[in-house]
Amino acid sequence: MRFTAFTFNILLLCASSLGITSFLNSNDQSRFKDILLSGLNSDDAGSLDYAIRGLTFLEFDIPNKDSLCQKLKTKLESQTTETLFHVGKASASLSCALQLSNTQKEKLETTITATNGVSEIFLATGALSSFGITLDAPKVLKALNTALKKDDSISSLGQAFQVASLLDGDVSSVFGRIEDVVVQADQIDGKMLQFEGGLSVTALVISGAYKLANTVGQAPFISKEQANKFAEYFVSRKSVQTVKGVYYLLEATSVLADNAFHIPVAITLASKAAVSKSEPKFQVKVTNILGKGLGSLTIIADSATRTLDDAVVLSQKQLTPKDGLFELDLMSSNPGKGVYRVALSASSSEDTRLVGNVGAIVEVKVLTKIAIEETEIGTADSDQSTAAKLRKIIYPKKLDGSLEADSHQKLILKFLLRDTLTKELVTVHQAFVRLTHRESQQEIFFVAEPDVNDAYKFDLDLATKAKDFLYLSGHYSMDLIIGDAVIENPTVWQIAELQLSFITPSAGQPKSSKAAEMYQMKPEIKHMFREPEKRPPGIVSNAFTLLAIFPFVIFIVLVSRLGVNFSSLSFSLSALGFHLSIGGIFVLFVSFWLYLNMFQTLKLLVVIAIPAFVSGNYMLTQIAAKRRGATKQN
Amino acid sequence: MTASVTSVVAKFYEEYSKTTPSKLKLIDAYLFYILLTGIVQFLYCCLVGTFPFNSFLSGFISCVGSFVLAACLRLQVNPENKGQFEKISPERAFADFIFAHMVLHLTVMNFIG
Repeated sequence: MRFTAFTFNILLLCASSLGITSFLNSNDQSRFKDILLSGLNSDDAGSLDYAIRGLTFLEFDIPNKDSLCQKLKTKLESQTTETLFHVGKASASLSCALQLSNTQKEKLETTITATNGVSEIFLATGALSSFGITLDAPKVLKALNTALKKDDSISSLGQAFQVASLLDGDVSSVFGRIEDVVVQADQIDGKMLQFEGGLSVTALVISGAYKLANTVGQAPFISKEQANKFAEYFVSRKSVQTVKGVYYLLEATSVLADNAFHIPVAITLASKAAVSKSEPKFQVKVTNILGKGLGSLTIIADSATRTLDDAVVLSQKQLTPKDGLFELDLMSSNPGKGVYRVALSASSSEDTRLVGNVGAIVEVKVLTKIAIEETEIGTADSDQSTAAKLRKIIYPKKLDGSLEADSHQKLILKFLLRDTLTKELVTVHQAFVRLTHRESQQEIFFVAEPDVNDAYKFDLDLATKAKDFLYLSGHYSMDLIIGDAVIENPTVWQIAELQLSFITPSAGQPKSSKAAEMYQMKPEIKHMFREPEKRPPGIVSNAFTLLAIFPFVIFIVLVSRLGVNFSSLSFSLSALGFHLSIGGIFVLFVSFWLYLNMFQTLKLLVVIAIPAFVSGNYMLTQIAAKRRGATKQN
Repeated sequence: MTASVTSVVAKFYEEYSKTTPSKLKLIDAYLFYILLTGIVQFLYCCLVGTFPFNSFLSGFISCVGSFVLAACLRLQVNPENKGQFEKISPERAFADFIFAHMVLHLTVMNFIG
């Protein structure tokens, strides 16, 4: 376990050490203050405690101290260790001078046993120490270590660190476990470290570890990179909304802003991110995680690398301090336009605790001004029978008079874009030509393409593009639009007025613009109910009904031809009952079809079926007996 | 060809009238009646489509079911088959027939809609 942790840390040291990317600024702190002040109104000991201690971290003057002390006093006789813990911590923070009764004191001292678990030991020791009662260090330590054997989850270890930091004597058994805990941290995005359980667990562990390290006087087994990454995690959680969350964040960041071993440094851009010839300097702020200064520092820009082609434009240049910030004149190194990543390092002659102070990256854009040169505009015949007639225009003037063109001509525009800093021809992200029809304000955009020598040419064949214009002839105005991420002066230049005429392919009005058509009323949709199925005419179905009943007649005829033996029809009770019951069932089924439901039918069926069964059984046995008698006789 | 067919049919009819007991002839007449009804229903469906499909099905299945039950009754009651149906007396067969019919008609009535 120790070996793997050791190699892991060695590997981390090889990686570059980046600082934290932001800090808790005054906006964040005032937001925390508001959240904590709302917590002061609560009646729950936990919320009160977190609010009071949080505001103490922010060095804010807590109002109504007496009423708060009274509220806490009413909770002194509580039966739970947790409430006493919160009351103790809060009253110590407010200096309420509350006293624990002897019974409560003894109850807390007896709670400190291994069987009660690490959490109870943490709450009891915290409560006792905040009321100024000295702890029996060997007893507490023994109980703590035994309890940790059973439960060494991350939050228990965090609580154990907090307990051990309150004890005198040899707490190295607990101190050694810091390394076990840190290895269990999860890395996010390669930039942050946290523990499973989120903000409260991570804050508990980190503040406990550093407090314990302060008590023991030895650096905790947390590397500089890890300290930075934990700090980065805390800074990323600054949008927390709950009183408890804000307290934990403030506790952890206060520890990281002021402990004897690791102080994470935040190097952030404090001015506009763009520099240009007129504003050549940018400023950075170097602070700790709470935004406070770090004493006298030397800030050096190790390198400035252009992202486009990795060209390095400066190295090892020191920044000059100015009004609490540090500034650098980037333009003096003659960088070209582009986005640059500047690597900064902060070092202090006195303070050896700084971490994350080497290689912090700040992104700065260098802007340049563009000049539009050698602009020429004109028309030429599409079939290239005559040479193009081009007229020169100088930016920002407009062409005199109006240029006429029709369907068998081409419109040509040529221009060059030059970077005023480097005096070279450049291409930009956006070089558009916009033509706007005067009356209808219909617009159409085209893109001007650069050739291999970076000379821009715009060539519009009116015959082929007439459809895009919707054949709308008339007075057009032409604008040239130049835009890019790294130029100072994006431009819209009204170049010329044009008179364009198109031939519509079919005689008649040009179509109204597609846009207008799209927004007209559409035809109304009428809902169509499901059409009923086609039925045959009544005559056919009636005829077939009769036809279906007809075979019964045939049956009767056949039966009569066969000769039914009516004489042996006995009118005994059973026979009568049977036939009546069967007839009743028949009637029941017809009424089931017509108006009964299944349940009623089944009920009635059971009622009629019983006599039917009984009488039928009797009748059939009689017939059987008669038949056997007859066959015996034969 | 047709002459032999007609003579076979005539012979069969004669044999049939003489040898079959009248009880069986009764059942046969019943079977014939059921058959005709089923055919009429099927013709109607072919002619005008299956519009209330559930009604057509219930009517047709009633015919088919009755036909099958009557055929079973004929088998069980036939004295020539006595050897195979020793445990089941004709009266018992008739009782089964009636019971099965009750169930069939309950289902048919439910489904007829």
